[in-house]
Amino acid sequence: MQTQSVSGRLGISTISVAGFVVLWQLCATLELVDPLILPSPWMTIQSGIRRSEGGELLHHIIASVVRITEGFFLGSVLGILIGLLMGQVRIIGEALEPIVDILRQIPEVAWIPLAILMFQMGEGSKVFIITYGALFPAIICTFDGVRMTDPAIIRAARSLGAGRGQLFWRVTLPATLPHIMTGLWIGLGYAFRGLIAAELAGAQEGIGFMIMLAREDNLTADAFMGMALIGVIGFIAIYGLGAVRNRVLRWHESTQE
Amino acid sequence: MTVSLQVNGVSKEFVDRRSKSTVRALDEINLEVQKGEVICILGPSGCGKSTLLNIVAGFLPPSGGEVRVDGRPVVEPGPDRGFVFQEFALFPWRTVLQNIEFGPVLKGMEKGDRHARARELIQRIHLTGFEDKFPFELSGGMKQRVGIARALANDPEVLLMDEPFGALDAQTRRVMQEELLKLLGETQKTVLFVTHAIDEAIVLADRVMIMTARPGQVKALLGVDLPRPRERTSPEFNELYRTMDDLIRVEVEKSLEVQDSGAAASGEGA
Amino acid sequence: MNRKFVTRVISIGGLFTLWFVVTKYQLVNPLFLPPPKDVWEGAVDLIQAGELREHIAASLWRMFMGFVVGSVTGVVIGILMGQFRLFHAAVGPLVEIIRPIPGLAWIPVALIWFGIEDASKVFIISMGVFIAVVTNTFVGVRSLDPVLVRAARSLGANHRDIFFRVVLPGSLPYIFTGFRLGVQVSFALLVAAELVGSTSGLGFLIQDARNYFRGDLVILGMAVIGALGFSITRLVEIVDRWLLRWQPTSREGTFY
Repeated sequence: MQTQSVSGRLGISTISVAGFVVLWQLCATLELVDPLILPSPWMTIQSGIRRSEGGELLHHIIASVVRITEGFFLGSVLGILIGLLMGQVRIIGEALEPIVDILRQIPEVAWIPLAILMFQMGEGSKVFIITYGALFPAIICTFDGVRMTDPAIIRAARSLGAGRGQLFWRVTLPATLPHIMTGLWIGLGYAFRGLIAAELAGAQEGIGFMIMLAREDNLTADAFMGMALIGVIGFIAIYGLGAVRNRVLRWHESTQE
Repeated sequence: MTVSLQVNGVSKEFVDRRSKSTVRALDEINLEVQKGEVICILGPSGCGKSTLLNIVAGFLPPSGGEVRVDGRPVVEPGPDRGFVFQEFALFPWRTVLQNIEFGPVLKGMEKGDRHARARELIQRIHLTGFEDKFPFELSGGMKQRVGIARALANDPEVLLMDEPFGALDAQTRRVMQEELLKLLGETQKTVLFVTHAIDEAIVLADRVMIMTARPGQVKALLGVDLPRPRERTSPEFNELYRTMDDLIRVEVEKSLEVQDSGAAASGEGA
Repeated sequence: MNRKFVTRVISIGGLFTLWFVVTKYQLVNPLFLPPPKDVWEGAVDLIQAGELREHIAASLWRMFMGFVVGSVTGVVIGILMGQFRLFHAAVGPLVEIIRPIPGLAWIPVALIWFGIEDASKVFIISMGVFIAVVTNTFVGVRSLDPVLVRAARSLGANHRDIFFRVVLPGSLPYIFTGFRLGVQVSFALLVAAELVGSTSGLGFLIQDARNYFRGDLVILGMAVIGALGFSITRLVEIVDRWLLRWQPTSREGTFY
């Protein structure tokens, strides 16, 4: 009985999604809604095919992926280093904490105009925004993680003869790792947000630029296709980071689901 | 003497989800409890004693047989059977007072009346001054006092207690047992009390029902004819303890054997 | 507290001094890092003209409307999903399809659908709030300890009582986590939406200032955005802490 209802629910999910797509398609086919407002699923796919010709779509995808990779990597590494430094050296922690507290209140998207003033429309402004997005979650979570390391395991390691360096590499760092991963997790979301916002606000390539252009030309189908593409790329990025986390933290209860 | 609670040939079967086989948890349980009587149910873990209590409460339907409270058949949970949970199950967003008056609120009792009743109960469980505390501010023993008072606030016919002191430390347990006896002396409630501690059963019960390993059957129904308050160190107490211990130990060993052979049969560990 | 306060003052004071020195000797291009004096004067001008107030009001109004729409629909759908398996089976996948699309990606479509005025921003914000609230509400309803429902039933509660007196208060911590995250997320969404296409609001203010190369106003706008975002989050936290005073410690958010 239990298994039946599970498969029944799966059936309902399929019907619901399929029904949604069919309804959406019908709206366009029967011209209930202006396709300029709501293009049909088929038109969306067609626009993807059309844009793929000549490698235009691929070009935008690569531009966006390169930016997010650069910015996320830069922001994460910088953030982890700063966070570790703040956690390990008390004076640095105390000096930087108030400044971090202020800067983190300003969302990365609010930096876009200033970034454009600084770097003009070039790559620098995009990478800056993405880096900024990834930076603060990484700093804060790493810093918290170092401070929250269970004092009992530090005492245990010391009584077993660990020196200062060993203590950091073999105890503090692994104990902080789950927090660092959380920081990267949140940072990825912010970085992604920064990427799209920066591309929407001013760029010559990238998926965000493509949908903004589509909007100006009233090519709603292209905008839809771009949105779906962003969703897919975001999904892959989250999935990839999740795989890394599961590998790195296989000793941690957060990965035992 | 009037009969307060009847359990007539109650059986319960579960379908094991993994093996898709039917497991018989309870087998033809019969029990008749007089008004004001305290019955403790003892048995090895997994014998279905909590299942029985859940059936009496109306949380689970029996596969066969029926339960009657005050002559009326049980079909669903109701305020005539107060339930006290091992995990306390206090509503964390309600204060002590609000937890206790939950039942009266549902009945639509007027504010003045239900406050008066709740305050009286708070006094009887010695928590005066804690009326406006939230559950997280209380110790385990205090929480369970509130749990008992909350059940009593409905003035139920029967009090069903599922290892209510199982989560408490040994000292607190003793105190709670004494306080429960005092409360029961004042209210004359019929009580069904599930426990796995033999001494707890002897201290509290008028009669002790010992259950077999799965499928749970009534193995023995022993009267405890010791004068109250019962002295844990008296020879009679120990005599009774030994008798019950022997009865239960056989069942515990049986249930362990079943588990071992079950694990061997399935061919793999957990 | 004292030591913390002192280091705080020193470090923030140091930051301002650095800003002062750097701009005084023009170590950085004044185009994007104007001296503190310029920012201050820009602020005074903008306040006196009443312009700053108008932009703040525009942003806050959009924020408020979007929050109301997004949180109400999020709570209702989240509870329905948590309570009824069939509803969850039907609606859950649709929510899952929308979830990976960042709220920002909706901006161009929202502009096509609702134009450049308030409606498109309200839509974007409600989208961000909705996703955060619906997920957390659903998790809250599902993670409610079933023993509490049993306790209520044994005390005589009917379906209605269980919903209003157990399920709703029991999932409130999660619902509020959703509110908090939703507000945080959607404030950034709002700024971005105003940057990209708007004629008022704080996002417009900084974008407009950038067009006129007014670095001082850009920095001022950023400061106001930070302060406003901080205040809004704080406000939600205060309400949250009061409503959930029955909770032992502060809770961590669920990030999705």
